[in-house]
Amino acid sequence: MSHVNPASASSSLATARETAAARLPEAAGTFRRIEGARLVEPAAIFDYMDGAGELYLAYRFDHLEVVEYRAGEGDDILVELYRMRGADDAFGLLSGDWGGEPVVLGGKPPDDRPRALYGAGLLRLAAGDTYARVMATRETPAAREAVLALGRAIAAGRDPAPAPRLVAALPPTVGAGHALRRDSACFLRSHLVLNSAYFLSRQNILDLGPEVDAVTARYDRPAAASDANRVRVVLVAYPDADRARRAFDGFRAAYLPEAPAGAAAAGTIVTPIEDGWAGARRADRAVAIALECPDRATATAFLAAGLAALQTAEATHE
Amino acid sequence: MSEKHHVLTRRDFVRAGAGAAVGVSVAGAAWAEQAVATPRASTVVLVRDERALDAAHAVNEAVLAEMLAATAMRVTGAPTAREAWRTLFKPTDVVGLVPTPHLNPTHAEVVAAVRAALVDAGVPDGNIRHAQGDVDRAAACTALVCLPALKAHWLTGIGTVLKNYIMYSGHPSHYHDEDSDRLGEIWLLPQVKGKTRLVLVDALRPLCDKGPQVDPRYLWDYKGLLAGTDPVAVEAVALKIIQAKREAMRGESWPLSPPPTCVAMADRRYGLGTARMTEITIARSGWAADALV
Repeated sequence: MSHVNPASASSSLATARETAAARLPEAAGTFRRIEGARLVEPAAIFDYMDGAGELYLAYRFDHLEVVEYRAGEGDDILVELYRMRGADDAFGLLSGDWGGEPVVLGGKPPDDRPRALYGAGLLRLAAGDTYARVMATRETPAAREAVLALGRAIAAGRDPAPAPRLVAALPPTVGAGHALRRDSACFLRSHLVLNSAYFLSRQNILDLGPEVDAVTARYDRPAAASDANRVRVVLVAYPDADRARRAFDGFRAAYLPEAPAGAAAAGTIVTPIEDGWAGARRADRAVAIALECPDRATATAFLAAGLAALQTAEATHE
Repeated sequence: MSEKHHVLTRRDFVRAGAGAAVGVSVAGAAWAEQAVATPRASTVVLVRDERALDAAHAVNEAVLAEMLAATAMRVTGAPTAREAWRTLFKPTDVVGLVPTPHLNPTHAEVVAAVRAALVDAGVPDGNIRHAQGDVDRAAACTALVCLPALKAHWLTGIGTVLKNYIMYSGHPSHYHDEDSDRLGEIWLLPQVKGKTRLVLVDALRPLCDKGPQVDPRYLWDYKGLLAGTDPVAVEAVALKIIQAKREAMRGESWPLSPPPTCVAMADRRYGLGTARMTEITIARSGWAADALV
């Protein structure tokens, strides 16, 4: 695999902790496991990905295990097991792209969101605290079967974890018929991931970070798919109310500086800007943001619904 | 508010249109402030051939050689491929080839075809070097061929021409995310400045989304070469192809995110060429279906 730089990036698994890679089979169909599974610690991920490890560090990344299989010249399968600090992080990595064919590899998910997606030779899955990519260099029927078999081996013994509470709490509809685009819901902790899903600012104006739970999603008005009928929400749960207040104030200063100071002090902003109505609302350790709303009433409805979702997520946590 | 402390947000782009807001971004190194004077009209050559890849995406090397010859002739206006390459490179040049090694790597066949064309034009094989990586490799060359593959990038929007020299900086992570605006300054490093005689983008099988690793669902057989002597113009056309493919794939607006501000910045701040499509002529040749530009 051209993006792998094994010499400088990894260490032998011989002395490592108990690994997920150890549970993988010696063969999957005609693909045989190649000796020398590798372990990549966070400090080495930039070497492994030639300077693109930010995605994994943007979640709570623990380590990466890499195993390769080969059936013949040019017929390889690369298995990457990203061990995260929690199941929410693994889910978050999967939620960056809901495209592909949903497949069930082990236990049935506790909700109607897939935990494994296959497309063009690549299987992505979230199983417990593991996010995995299993990719065949050349997609054939045999390679597909082998990729799925390896996916089943990774998922074995791990019941699919519940979706992050914030994702589960997203309301299916808001206001006058705006419906959640299910393929847009992305769980995140970093402004880099937020910007990949929906560009807000080059700077981290919401003070996101590893201690923060956040979700962004798009809502469309049915039968009106133009940009003007989309609403974007960002819901953030901070570790404490003080940080939420500071983040709210920072967002107002950077993004909605025209908002009246009085409204901001009261914890709610709703104001017209270039691409529609925008708003933010804060309560305790939660901040809800609504963007590109067609009118004030819609923005207000989304802020109320967003805050309710945050409170639901908080309640289920307790 | 000072330029240095301006917080660049979505609103800047909505107000001014994508790309127009980048002039408010971060300050660059002092030496990078000396923008290079460039003509405000550029030509970008696009050559495509339906036979360039087979059903398994393998490169047809004979067809590729024809495409490369046509590309060089169109870039230079020379009547033959040999004369075209001689227009760009002298036999005394030490020519560095700078392919992209990761994410969506430059096809090895493209690199080999360029090497063969240079040798045919009289550049000794020993004077042709692999120049990707450490900036010392660029320093040792009198001329460079920028040879990236066409691809999007999750931290910079597009990761093709301008980003191809990122390793020359010695600190690639310093040019991601909010600092990707400064990618153009790398082209002005003393070891690099003025050496790029040809930008040749491998658009045989581009990647139109994500990273940091390849998701093969976003690869497609475009079967093209994109080339010019203005790196910003070539990048601007590359960007247009990527954006058009994304919208065709989704059937709705699907902008690159984050926005690829490095392209307009390379024009406005670093003077490396033109990013304005109104100043760019696209010279098309060959297979026309789904050209996207």
